Amino acid sequence: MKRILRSSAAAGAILAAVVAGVIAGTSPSWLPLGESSRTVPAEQIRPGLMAVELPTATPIYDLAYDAATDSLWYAASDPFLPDRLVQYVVNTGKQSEWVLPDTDYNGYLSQVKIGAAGTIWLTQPYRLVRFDPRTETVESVEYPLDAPDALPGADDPNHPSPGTWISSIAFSGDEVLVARNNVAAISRIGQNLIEVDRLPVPEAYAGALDMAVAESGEIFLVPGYTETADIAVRRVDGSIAPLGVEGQRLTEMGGGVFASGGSAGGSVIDVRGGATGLLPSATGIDSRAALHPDGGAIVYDPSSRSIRHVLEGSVIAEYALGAGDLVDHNPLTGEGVVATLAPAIHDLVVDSQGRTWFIDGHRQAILGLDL
Amino acid sequence: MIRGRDDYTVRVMGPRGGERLEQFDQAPTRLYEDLAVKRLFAILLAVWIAASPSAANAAHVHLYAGQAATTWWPGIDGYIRGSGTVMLNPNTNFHAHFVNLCSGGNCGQWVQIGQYQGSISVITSAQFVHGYWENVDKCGIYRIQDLGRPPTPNYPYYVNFVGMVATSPECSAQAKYSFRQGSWTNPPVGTGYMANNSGIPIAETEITSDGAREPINANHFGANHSKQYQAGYALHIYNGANWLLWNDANIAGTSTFAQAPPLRTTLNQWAAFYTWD
Repeated sequence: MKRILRSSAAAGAILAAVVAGVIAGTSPSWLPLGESSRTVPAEQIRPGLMAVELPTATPIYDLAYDAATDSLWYAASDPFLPDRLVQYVVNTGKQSEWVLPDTDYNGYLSQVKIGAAGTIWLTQPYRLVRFDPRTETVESVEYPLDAPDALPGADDPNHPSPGTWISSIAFSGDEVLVARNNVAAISRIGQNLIEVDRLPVPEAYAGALDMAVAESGEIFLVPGYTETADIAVRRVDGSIAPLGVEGQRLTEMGGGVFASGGSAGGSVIDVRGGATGLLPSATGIDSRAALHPDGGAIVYDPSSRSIRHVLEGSVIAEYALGAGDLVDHNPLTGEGVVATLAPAIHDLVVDSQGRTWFIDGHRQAILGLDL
Repeated sequence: MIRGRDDYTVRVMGPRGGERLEQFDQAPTRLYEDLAVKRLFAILLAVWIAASPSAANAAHVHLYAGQAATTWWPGIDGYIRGSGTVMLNPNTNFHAHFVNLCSGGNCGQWVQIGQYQGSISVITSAQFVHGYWENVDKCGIYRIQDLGRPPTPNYPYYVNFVGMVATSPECSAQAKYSFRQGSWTNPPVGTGYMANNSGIPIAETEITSDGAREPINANHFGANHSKQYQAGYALHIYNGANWLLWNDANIAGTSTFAQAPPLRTTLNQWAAFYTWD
């Protein structure tokens, strides 16, 4: 593994190239040279609905919120300009950007999470990146394709889902857990970005799409990208217990997790497998949800095409995303096909004031919503 | 491919009940790399329409050229190089170059990935060629996503079946397809769904125009940067275990289609071709 330290001086040189791109009129609104932050006010679209402009030419897929700094964090990729980590302070509109190691990946399965002491951790296909806001330092470690505990065929281009790319991360005290596609073990990474241990997992949970760690130290696992198993918990003794609940994303809740994005609905799950439904109805695979400070939840429900505020099992407010029927052309015959446009709500978070921030992948904007 | 509007009618419910309706027909401000160009085109288009005596009678044009197999397979890949053009009207038109699997009755479902320029429903790139993927699933749900400019003009794209999944309470189990681009070691860039775990492979150029047909220059499938067939760039069909070169020996029964224009010219049987004006 190679450790890379990127200095602020190097970042300045890259920013010079960015400015050239701005002058050429080929880039989105990058920061001018010498400036690390600016104020970007939210645009009021309608009462209760605002938009914050994304400084990227391509959609983003993961959003993190740090209550300690009242900040949204996300990673923006661009094939021709440096990738960036972006911080947006909600109540002031201050936006800051830092250059990241470059990647050609669009971020569809990448994650951005808030770690210990406010550090920001994000994943690229074969690179784990840590940003320390106190020192404004970006550090990273790269992983080779060839991985210990890799499943057969992981490095075979004929595999239906090849590669050993990072699929998810989670935090256990000061350590970071790293799951990789087709790798039947979770890496435990110390603060020095060096692996300290490996935790075996069965094939169905190799490359877990998300993880969360309970207070007990047990690890909740979403199955890998090609798997259809239930969410499971990895006990301290290494045994795996499926929990009878499907989901795509996990949010830690002390003794358990809040699972969302599954056909079985959004539930709070404890380590013994008990599940309490928070949402009034099951949600789909595209669903996203986050906990609300009032004890309820905000959920994007694809079935109703709405973002809902749910409290005590009831919908108390709803923002409808509207209908979007379209006529498409069959690629084989050219005949018209009527289809319904699905919203592209890639992720949502709720800030400490209860405002929902969500990514609309079709508009390339982060929208803020009061529900 | 589709034409459509992103037009939201908002039903906003107040806390603890009550609701109001708001017409939401203006997208939030967004800054694309070519937004200024898009606005300039809109102005120029308005002038052109006002001056053109035939504008009032402009017809919708939909054309395509490519090839399709006659048997069903779980994957297709290949290098695609879509030519950038100066479009007549990028706000309503597009040209796209893609690989595709379709299934369902009369191919009414598909998973598709490639390159485009112009406007396809809610994604738009007026000035540059962008990557994209598109999906219509068994419940008629349409998903589409822009992938930005490809790092190199000639870029590989893959779509293949990876497993069954329950997508929603209404739509239940579907076949899950992974969209990938670039290196084969990369993670997926999106996911699509169909009823079946395989489909008819198609490689195609598609043009949709309001009014005069959009020029497409020459667009290459399965070729290298010198527009020549090269095995490593070729179109392949996935059989679930191996990526097979798309030829008669591996996949019997492939037909071609083209209108004049666009036209289709073979570089190497079904493994490489180009479409052009």
